[in-house]
Amino acid sequence: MLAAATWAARSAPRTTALALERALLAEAGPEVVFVGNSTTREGIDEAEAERRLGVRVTRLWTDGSGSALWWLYLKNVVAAATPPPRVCCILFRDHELTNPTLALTGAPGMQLRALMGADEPELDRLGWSAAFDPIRRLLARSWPLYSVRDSAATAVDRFVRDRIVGPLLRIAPGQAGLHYWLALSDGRMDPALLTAYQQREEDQRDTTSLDFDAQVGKSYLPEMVETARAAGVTLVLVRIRTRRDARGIPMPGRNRRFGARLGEWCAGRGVPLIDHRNDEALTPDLFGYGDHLTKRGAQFFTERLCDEIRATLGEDLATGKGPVHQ
Amino acid sequence: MLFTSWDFAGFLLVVFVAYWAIPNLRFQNWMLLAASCVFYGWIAPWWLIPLAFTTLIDWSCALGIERRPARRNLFLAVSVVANLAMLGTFKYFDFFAANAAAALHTLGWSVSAPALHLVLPAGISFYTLQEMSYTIDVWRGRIAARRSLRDFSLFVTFFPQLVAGPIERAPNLLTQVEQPRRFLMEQFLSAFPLLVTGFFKKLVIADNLAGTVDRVFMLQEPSLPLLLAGSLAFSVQIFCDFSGYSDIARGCAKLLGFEVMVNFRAPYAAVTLDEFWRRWHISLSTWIRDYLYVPLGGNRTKTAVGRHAVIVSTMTISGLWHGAAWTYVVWGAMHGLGLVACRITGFNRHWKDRSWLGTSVSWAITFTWVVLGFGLFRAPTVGWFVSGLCGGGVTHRGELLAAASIAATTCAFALPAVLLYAAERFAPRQIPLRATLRWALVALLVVLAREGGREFIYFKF
Repeated sequence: MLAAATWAARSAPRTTALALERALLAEAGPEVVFVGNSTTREGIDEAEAERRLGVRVTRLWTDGSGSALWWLYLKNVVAAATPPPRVCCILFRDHELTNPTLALTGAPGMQLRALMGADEPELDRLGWSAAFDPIRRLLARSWPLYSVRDSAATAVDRFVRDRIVGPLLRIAPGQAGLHYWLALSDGRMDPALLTAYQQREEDQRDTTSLDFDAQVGKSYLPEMVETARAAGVTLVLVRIRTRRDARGIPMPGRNRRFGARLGEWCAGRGVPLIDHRNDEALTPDLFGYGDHLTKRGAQFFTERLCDEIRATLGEDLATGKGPVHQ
Repeated sequence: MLFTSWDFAGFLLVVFVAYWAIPNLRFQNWMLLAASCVFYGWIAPWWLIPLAFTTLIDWSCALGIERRPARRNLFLAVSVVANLAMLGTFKYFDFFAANAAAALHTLGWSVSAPALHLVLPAGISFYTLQEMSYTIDVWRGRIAARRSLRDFSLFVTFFPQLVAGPIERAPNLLTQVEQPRRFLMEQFLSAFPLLVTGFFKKLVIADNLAGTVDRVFMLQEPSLPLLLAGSLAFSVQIFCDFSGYSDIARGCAKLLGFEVMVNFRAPYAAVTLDEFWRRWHISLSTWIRDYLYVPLGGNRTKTAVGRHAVIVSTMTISGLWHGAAWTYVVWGAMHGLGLVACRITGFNRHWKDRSWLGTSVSWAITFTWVVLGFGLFRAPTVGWFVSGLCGGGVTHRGELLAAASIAATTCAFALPAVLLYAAERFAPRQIPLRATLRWALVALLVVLAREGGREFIYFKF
């Protein structure tokens, strides 16, 4: 059974996936690309963005992904395009951008494998080596079944919800997840318990992961900046507002300090950082489930973000007039 | 060191090879003692200090009890007070101080509660009881005091069961420590089914349910369906987490030629509450029975009220042993009251074993009581649990869906382990069937195990 499952996972069309992503990007021919996870899928309204920016826009996302995958999107898809898009916005929450070991397994891990080139030394050094001891590194790198572990458990969860319980309660398959997460969303949690829980989770993580100065050198961020610069792509970092921020639930202390240092680092390197974490206009009612925005919320956020992108770059992307930031 | 970490896998391999390479019992025990100290001090080396302190006290007091019979009560008192003082300081001081301050406040005196904010050394509640059982048994004359500090220390610190039990007794474990051990292939091979089942329970069932359980018990206003589903999920999580640990502990002990006691015997199959407590955390239940319930009078108490009071107080103390919070205390009292109610109504005798229907109803009532109890056990406060139980209606459809999904997912994750249990219980001779199921568990362990294993729940007790 294990051998068969390994074979099935290994025979997934890996190189085709990268080629497909590149082909799709070439076909769309965007000037601006938004990269991220499900918060980008739910939070960016492409039509609205195209209206506000006056250029073609595309989103590249994988649910549950982290900076490792965004790095590959930037390097192997965006920067590899001919010609590359002019602007690449990476959307992230809290300190996701400098956590190189986030989402290396499960569904994002499969996509990671799909977007890998023949040789990925940075991913090996910053991702696999940092996240896993030698045995797990070998397993994660070479045994596809190991990489899909987290997604298998999630798939069981989703299957039960969407295919068994949802139909029994006459809830459409596409809606079951939404109902589920609304019932257990951050907004319904006791703020004090949630904050204490998040603090505990943070404390259990690597203590250096929230120390920006210690962490930035271990992240893909410097590589991202260099790669974008070399390819002539303007990199814009967008820190999004989470439901917790919108509800005013205090953020654990180290995370706050982390945000301040990230801002200083970006300013020192001329990398635009648009921080929406304290954007009071994004009120709790604009959030759907989890940190995902509703349709109205997505339209509103996209509108505000695009205006800020234009202001930050000081350039009219449609006409190409004005100074280029980088 | 966590059983589910790769550090432990490497550690166990090194210990296993080195241990069996040593031909001499004395050196084997030295080696195991050193390994146990490394295991325990891996996360926080200072945890070894209170452990060494109580070990030394109990070893000395036991020798004192035997050598100076005239002062045996004094030595016992020193041992018990030292152990309880250690436990009380680390675990209960802040709780009692805060509650005393609150009580004084209601009486009109404003007192600020002193708080120590001490970090609780893992396993302190377990090894404290284990050591106390030793000195009490010596005091009762049931066992002889041991002269070898090395052997006694190994009995206390034996790494497979140090952090979360089973709470061993000297006649079982200490005797094995003192006797030469031989590598037996049968014992070696019997370790693997336990290890597979233990890791499956912990990494697949318990850890996959943990995230959902956490969210349910953080809700500001839980609805009744969500509370019930969350309680069910937590009941499965805590059983798999704790019995998984016990299975791994037994498996590791077998690899080293030891047999430690069985801690769980399918507790959720119990038909009565009495039976549940004979199947759940057996090493604690029997400890409570032998060193608390019986000395308090037990069944020998003359009046029915007295007997019932002993049951409720024993169970309440057992609840408090789990942690310094009112939820644990009320949980213990709830089980005590349940046991008393069973005795008063004759539920134990009349319902079970009468008919298929009677047994089923009895099981359903017992299981519901246990699940509700674990809901209270996990709740942030007693008030939170009561408000969810009494007033929390469904406000939208999603709650019903979420509750049903949580219950169904819990069953889905638990199903393979239930099938294995059923095969072992009802088809013990079907070896191919059991082997197939075990290999299926291995396969599922590979694809469903949660990355970055969580700490075992009972570590904090």
